[in-house]
Amino acid sequence: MYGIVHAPIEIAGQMGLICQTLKKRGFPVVGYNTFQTQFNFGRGIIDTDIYHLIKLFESTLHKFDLYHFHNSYTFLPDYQDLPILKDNGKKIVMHHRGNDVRLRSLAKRNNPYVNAESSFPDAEIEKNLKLFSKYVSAAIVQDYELYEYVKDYYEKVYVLPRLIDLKTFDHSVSNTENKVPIIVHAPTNREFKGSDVIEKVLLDLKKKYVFQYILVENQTHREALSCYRSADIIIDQILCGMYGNLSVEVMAMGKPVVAYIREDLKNTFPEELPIVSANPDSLRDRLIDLLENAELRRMLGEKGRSFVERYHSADIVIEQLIQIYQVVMGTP
Amino acid sequence: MAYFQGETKGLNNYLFHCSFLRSLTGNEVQVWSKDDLRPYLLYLHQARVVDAFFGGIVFEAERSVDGSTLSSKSLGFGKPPTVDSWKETCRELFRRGQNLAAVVELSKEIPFGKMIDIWIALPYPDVTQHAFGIIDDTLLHFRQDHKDRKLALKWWIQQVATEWQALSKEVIGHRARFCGFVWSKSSLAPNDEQLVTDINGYLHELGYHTLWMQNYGTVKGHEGKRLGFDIVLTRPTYLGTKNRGIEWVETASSYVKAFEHGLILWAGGIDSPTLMIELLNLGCQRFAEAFQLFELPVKSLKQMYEKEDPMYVYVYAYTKKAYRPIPNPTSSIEK
Repeated sequence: MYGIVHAPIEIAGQMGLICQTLKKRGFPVVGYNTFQTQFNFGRGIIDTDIYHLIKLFESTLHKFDLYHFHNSYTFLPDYQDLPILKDNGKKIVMHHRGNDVRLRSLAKRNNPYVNAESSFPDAEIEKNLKLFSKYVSAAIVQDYELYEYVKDYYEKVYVLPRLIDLKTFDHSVSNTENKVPIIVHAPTNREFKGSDVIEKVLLDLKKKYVFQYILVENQTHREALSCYRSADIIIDQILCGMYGNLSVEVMAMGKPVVAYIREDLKNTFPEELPIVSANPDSLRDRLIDLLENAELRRMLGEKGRSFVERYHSADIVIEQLIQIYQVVMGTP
Repeated sequence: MAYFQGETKGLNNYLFHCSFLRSLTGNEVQVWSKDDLRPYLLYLHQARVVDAFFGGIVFEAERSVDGSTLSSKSLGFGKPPTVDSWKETCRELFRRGQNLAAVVELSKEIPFGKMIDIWIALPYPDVTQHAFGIIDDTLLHFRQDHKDRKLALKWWIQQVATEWQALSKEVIGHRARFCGFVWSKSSLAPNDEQLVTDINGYLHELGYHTLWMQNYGTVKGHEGKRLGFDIVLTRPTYLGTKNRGIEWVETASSYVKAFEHGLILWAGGIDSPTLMIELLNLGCQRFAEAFQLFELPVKSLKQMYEKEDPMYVYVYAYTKKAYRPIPNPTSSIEK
């Protein structure tokens, strides 16, 4: 069986979960993470630094056959490793995660709300993608919002949904019906998520509705999950036009979640998405719907859990990834 | 601002790194005999001892015979370690006639008045290990309980200390001194920081020195003293746009001086073939007095001696501060 290495940065626990699930399936896989955060996902990948990876790179040529890179980063600066990998017959998968490809110039065309200021500079993105197209066997994105940005650069782009380990998300206590509803928002990047607008709308709603607002920031993943558990409504992101990792996690917990889903992307899902779509213009009304209707919240929570079980479960998504690997490696 | 110098703590300045057992990717089990070690500890000319050479040695096992991860350098390249693989490391380190035992024997041949400093790299308690094994009637889980990582390290340190005492008594008239332990993981994972602080405290209680091998640019690399390390060695690394060049060593050496560290001189692999000479050229002008560790391909210096490669003489001269820069270098050190 071929050796797989994931590197060099962990985002939202996805790399660790991919590695963990591939290991369970018997694949020899190693993940190296040089981006240590407060989240501390702890899924058995190796926390290290870029300098160690640089020193390690040559040895990896003897060990691994498939290099699965994340967020447009590789082992060596300026992608010096890509031609070396190709010359050594290695296969490369590039997993784009968002700000590494979301071009400012393109983002606004389909979505007036999006804030792509945290993206790499447009020129750098285009330069990177052109370079990757020479060496990368397959590109992966998590949804069709990102697909647009990379589709013209690669022969094959796969849409691989985010993974979630359902066992770690108990939804049996999901029917939270606090007398005073609790609304939770957990931004990692306030500008990108639209946090200022969200908080302004919540402040306005406070004049008429009774609810508690909890802002989750700078906490470990475990601490954050504990906050989500107590919530009645969760607000993910209202600018980007697509849901993020938070939505997947809280749907798994059976919580109703608000995120802006671009109209033109709704039909890219296999069934109706149980996410309350709200942008800055509609957020107030959508929150009122949820605040006034506990039954709607309960129903969305149930549908959310069912949705992630079908489309985001790590065991299901990993099958799709293994199929991608099989195509890339040319193995049955 | 000054480089760290061994003399300030009664230590020898120039060390060489000695990997034993299995390497990162190879299957061969690396053993160091007296013959292998002689050209490192003694400067030889036509098989005759001319002088003492390196002042010390750092032993580090990367992987066990069965391929378990021992050093942090091999994370991702082996199975999670068990108590048996750690025991094996200690056993092989002290096996008579080889590795550390060979150094102690060989130290008797060192010219009078000189000593060889022994440093031993700690195995890395890999947090992916679910069941390390039983120590003192307790099953240790590195993943579940970080206290277990500390317990395992303390246990291993005790094993090494006991073995050293036995060996030291056995080899009468040796001139080797066991200086301390090395933490060779350059970056500190979130759970490592408290662990190294605790272990450094423990080692100091036992009277050992502690040394951290880290990379130029390692987060918290400048906080080594706060973490309890007596010595921090910085490995010049590279984050540039072209092939690794000497200017990076120069940059790193400024940092090293500012924080009173020592340097790791590493060459081999995909580096420029001229790197070794360039390192010596730069070193003799810039950081000759600094505490330095040579991290070269396994047994490469022995090969140089056997092939009568002038590099052998250059390195010796460098360690005696007698080296003079060689213009337009061409080096024999490659893979």
